[in-house]
Amino acid sequence: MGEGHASLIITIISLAVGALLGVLLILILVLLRPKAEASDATFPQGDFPPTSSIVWEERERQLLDRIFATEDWDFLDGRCPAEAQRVFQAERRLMALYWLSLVQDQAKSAMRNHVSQARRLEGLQPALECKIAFSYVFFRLNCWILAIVVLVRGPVGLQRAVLFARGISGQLLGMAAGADAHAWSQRI
Amino acid sequence: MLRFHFAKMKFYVLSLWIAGVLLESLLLARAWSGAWFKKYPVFFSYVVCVFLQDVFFLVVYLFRFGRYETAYWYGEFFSILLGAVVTYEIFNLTLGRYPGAGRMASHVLSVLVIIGLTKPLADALAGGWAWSMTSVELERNLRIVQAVSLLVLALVVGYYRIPIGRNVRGIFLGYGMFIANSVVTLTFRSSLGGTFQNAWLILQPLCFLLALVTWCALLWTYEAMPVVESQPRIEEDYRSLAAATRKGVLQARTLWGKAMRP
Repeated sequence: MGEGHASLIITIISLAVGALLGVLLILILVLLRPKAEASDATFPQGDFPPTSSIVWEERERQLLDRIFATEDWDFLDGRCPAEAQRVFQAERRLMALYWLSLVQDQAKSAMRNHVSQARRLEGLQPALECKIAFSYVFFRLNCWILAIVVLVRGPVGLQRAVLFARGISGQLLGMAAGADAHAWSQRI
Repeated sequence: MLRFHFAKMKFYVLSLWIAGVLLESLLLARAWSGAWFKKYPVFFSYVVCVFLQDVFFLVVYLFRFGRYETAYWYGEFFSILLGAVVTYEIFNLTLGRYPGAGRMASHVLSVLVIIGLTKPLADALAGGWAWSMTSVELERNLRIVQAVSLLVLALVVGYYRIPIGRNVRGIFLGYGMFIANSVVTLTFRSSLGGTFQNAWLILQPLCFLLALVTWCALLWTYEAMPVVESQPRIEEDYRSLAAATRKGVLQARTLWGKAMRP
């Protein structure tokens, strides 16, 4: 039984390695092959090229609040026809996704600058490179999850989902604290 | 007495075999006429060896069939050895001009080798290692090692967006796809045994034919490698570069976090 189990694991790993190599080669060497860099302009370290003409100031913070806040929807809900509500939801969804794409562009720009310079350096530190890569991948993953939630529930629904999740986690913490207190009182 | 086994060989098997020999000849002829064999000497030597092997095996199969199986496996392991050198040349051509990225690849490979060898070494020390292995399993395992090396290289090339020329891309793509297909077919052959034999007789040469077609297409003419960008400033800039990058990603994450906060 043990040998069969080990053999199955090896089979799965072998197939996974083969499939992954094939897919990656096609992706990297055929579909996503790097185009010639438009310019070798290296941006001064600490500065990143602007992704758009938008500069993030306090005003942008207010816009962000408006896109994801529920006040506008609470005002419209029950006051205007269903068609108008549908149009409102669709446009807010587009705005939220557009904002998300700008945020991702900012991170992508930082990474693009990093890899174009780091690949030529001899003193690269693999551990630090891995940390940067993982934090970037984790960030992109979070953005995709956020995009899915926005597509399904809209930006207003996202806020409600966050509030709901916070409520649940608060309840769980309360229950855990209560159970601890009860166990402690039992011991006494 | 010579025994001619032509009648025993299926038509499609013979067709694939001859097609492979013809494509190899075409590739070698282009390498010679285009003089790119001097630029990629290891790869050219590999194709020459494979060509000679194919012709030799065809003769053995047709006229000395009884010795074919032995000759096949010797040839196969010799190919794996040659393939390891080709893999090294691909690494050199791709990352030779980017020492930082090359260092990253070698570190990642070292970690993977350590992870991969830990269990077998532990088993061996505990006396539980089973050394018996069929030829198919052995070839599969060696091809997996090659596949993992090429996987790491592909990841590093993709992550650092290393510009590689058409020819090197062709060598990498063709050989990589061949290794990937070999790992999959050898795994099936090892797991399913004789029931996969007929499919294996077609798939194995077909995989190599696809590699040959890729090489012919992308190595038809010689294309120089892209010019290496100028060296960045002094090495001490790396830490500040990494810090600035992390700051940029953190800024983006902060903005993302603001959207999540009601």
